[in-house]
Amino acid sequence: MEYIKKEFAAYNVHIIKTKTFKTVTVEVDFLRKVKKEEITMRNFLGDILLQSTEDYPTKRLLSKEACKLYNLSINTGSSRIGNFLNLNFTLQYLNEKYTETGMQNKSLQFFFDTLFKPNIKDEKFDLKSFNIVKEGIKSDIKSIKDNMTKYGIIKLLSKMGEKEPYSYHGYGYMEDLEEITPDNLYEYYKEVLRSDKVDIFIVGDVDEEEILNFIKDNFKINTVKKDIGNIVIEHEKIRGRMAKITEEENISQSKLNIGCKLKGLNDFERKYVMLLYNEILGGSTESKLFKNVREKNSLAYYITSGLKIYDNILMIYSGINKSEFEKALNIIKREMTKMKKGNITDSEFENAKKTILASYDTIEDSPKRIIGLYYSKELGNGEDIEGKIENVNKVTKEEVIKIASKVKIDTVYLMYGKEN
Amino acid sequence: MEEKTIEKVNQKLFYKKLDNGLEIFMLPNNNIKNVYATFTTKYGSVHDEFVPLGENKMLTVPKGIAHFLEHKMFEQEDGVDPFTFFSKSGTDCNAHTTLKHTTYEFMGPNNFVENIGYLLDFVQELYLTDENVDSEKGIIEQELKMYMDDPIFVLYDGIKNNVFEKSPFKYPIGGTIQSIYKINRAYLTKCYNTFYNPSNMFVVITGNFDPEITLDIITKNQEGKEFKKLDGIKIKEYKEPDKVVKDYEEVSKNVDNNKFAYAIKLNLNKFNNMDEKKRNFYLSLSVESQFDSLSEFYEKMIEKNYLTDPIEFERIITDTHMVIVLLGETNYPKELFAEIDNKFKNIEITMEDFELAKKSMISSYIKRFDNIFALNDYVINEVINFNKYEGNDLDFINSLNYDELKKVSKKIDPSNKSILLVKPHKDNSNEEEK
Repeated sequence: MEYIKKEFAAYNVHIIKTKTFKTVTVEVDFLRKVKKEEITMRNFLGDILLQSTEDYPTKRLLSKEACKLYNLSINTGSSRIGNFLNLNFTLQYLNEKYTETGMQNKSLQFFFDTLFKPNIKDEKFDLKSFNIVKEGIKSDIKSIKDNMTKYGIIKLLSKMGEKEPYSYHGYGYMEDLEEITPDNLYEYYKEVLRSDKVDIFIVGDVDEEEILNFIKDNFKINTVKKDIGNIVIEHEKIRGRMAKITEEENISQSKLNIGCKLKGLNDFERKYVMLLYNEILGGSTESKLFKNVREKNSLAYYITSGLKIYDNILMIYSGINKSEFEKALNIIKREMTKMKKGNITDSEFENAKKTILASYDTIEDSPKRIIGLYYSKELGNGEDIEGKIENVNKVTKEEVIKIASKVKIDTVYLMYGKEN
Repeated sequence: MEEKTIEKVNQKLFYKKLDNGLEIFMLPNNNIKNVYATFTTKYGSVHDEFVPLGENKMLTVPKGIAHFLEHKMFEQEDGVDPFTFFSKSGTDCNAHTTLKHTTYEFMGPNNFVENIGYLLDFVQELYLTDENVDSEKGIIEQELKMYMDDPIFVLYDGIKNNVFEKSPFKYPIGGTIQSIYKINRAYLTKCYNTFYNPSNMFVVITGNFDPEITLDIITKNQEGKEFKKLDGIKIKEYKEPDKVVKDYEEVSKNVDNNKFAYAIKLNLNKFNNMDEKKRNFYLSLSVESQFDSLSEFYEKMIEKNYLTDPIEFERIITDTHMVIVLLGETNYPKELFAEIDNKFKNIEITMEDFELAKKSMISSYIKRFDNIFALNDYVINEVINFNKYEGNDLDFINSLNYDELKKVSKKIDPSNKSILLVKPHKDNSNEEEK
């Protein structure tokens, strides 16, 4: 794997040359400071650009053309990364070796056209496409309860700080959707091209000269690059006493979710020591929570802890019977206290390290993970694989024990069913 | 060991059937670091009535027992469970149960030689006590409750229940909370002894490993163990009628959007003289191409706002029937169902549709070799559905023919349909999310 970074005036191109894949993956990322009311707008923008273009005015025609180009795929996604919102477009096509000469340029051209040749009429997005996408987003927003585990987490985060960016969810918001028009969406589109931070990633067996020239000639935006500042959310204040909130929903299984805030961590602690803490507490089937809540007490099928590393938050989530709420909560608190007191066995510590190192070892197996690696590096929040391995190896058990005291339960949230 | 090179993608396939009947499929890819190994028994939730090994009478076991057994395989007599063993090398392990098979797996870049032996060992040894069987019930109860809150499971289980009458495909893979409490050690042991015989199982390995060394380890491992000889397993055959049980049902759930499953049940006997794999492909393409995101139907439905997202498809294939399920969301259920009925009455498929479908298939075929997980799953499904994987997919794609497709599509009788609508509870229907 060879990494080449080329800085143009308006954007960076990151080429990761590797012969591992039969495909080439190209991702374009647009990044800007988070604002809640822009979340729905960005979802809308991503969807409408893939709904139709000047050349292919309906989704069906666009999809058909993609199919003709050896079934290339283009996807979009928007997400929040700490204090920022990201909007990405990802193209994947078969390497020319498996199709025919010229397919690389044709695939890239088709991809760039979806970004730069939208279906615009009179300075606004085509109304028909607009309405179709609007209904789609409405339906996405309404599907928020389809996955109760995710919904429980969204509710938990909103209880931890309603105004804080970590509580914003990615489905979008009905009241913001109603404000979006074909006009202001087009204005927003132009603004994104003008002012967002833009990065392009290419993973595959490509000739860098050739592809860089193509991009230079065809990816034309005039954004001005600037320093983006800190993407990590720091918590101003931490509750002295944890909040305990219970709410009823029409569900069969109750959801016990716990949110913890992390304060006063340095970069190394947040990025590496916390990884180990999380892995030992609830990151796997070997973890303290899995062993005690599930295996020893049969209280749950799933019990997991997860880190939101850019948000300084650790979450614990589980599905239980309502009647076992206090029992499950006490076991979880007991296991967290044990970690503070240094009750971590050598094998728990070593196994957690091995698991994290094994996951670093396989980053190069996946184009998506390779891009993730270099993007977090670009955002000033990560090292390359060697750096990561070195850092995790450096972490001591004492550091994990010390950090356990910095994990503070902020909110316990139980969403319970009528019967269970 | 048989060895061949798969066309166009330059992928090696190694195959061996051991003396005890265990089949091994190996597809090494040394450009990557990870290895993914799976160990599968051709035993799933539908095998609930059979003659246990060494007996001569049919036994009916409680629903959900294959999945229950999958959970219990992780129990070991020495107390060191598979999770602990694998985690020592940072390896992930897992298992899952489907209608037709149960698969145990591990993935990770380290310690492959020990891991592959251990995978065989832990699955080929059963350790049950009355206590460890009982303690699993609470865990599985929570798992089933989690599925009860998931509209996709509600649709999938509900539509199977309404389509099938006698066939065990009717029931949820995990059983019900009532049925799992009927499961005991004796039932589990009989199922295990019958279906976990090596002649009913196979191993698939994809990723970075050495096939020669691996075969050697597996062979030695198996030579050190004794198994009873199994001459096929007698599984109850069901006379499943062509008619669906219920053609329409509505249920209320904690959702904010109407979700539907629209299934058609096709009798496969009509196509007896055709290769199964071809038949399945023609049938699914005939139906799915009418409604997928490239279809005029979809474009029209989106414009009318009857649909907001593409329809998804699920296929359930039994010995006698194929059920194709259309899944989606709609604000206008009545209108949409009428449109689907209508479309089914005149299935049209053009040469262009067919050629595009072929192009997509070739592209997916090549891409699959980049992903050791997708490739492994693909091989498992081929072996489960067609009893073989020879890596000749390109020949298969090239053998497809438009006239045959048209003949098959003309024989489709869409009259046996069943619709399930999952709609919001009354008190939810006017609620807007804030």
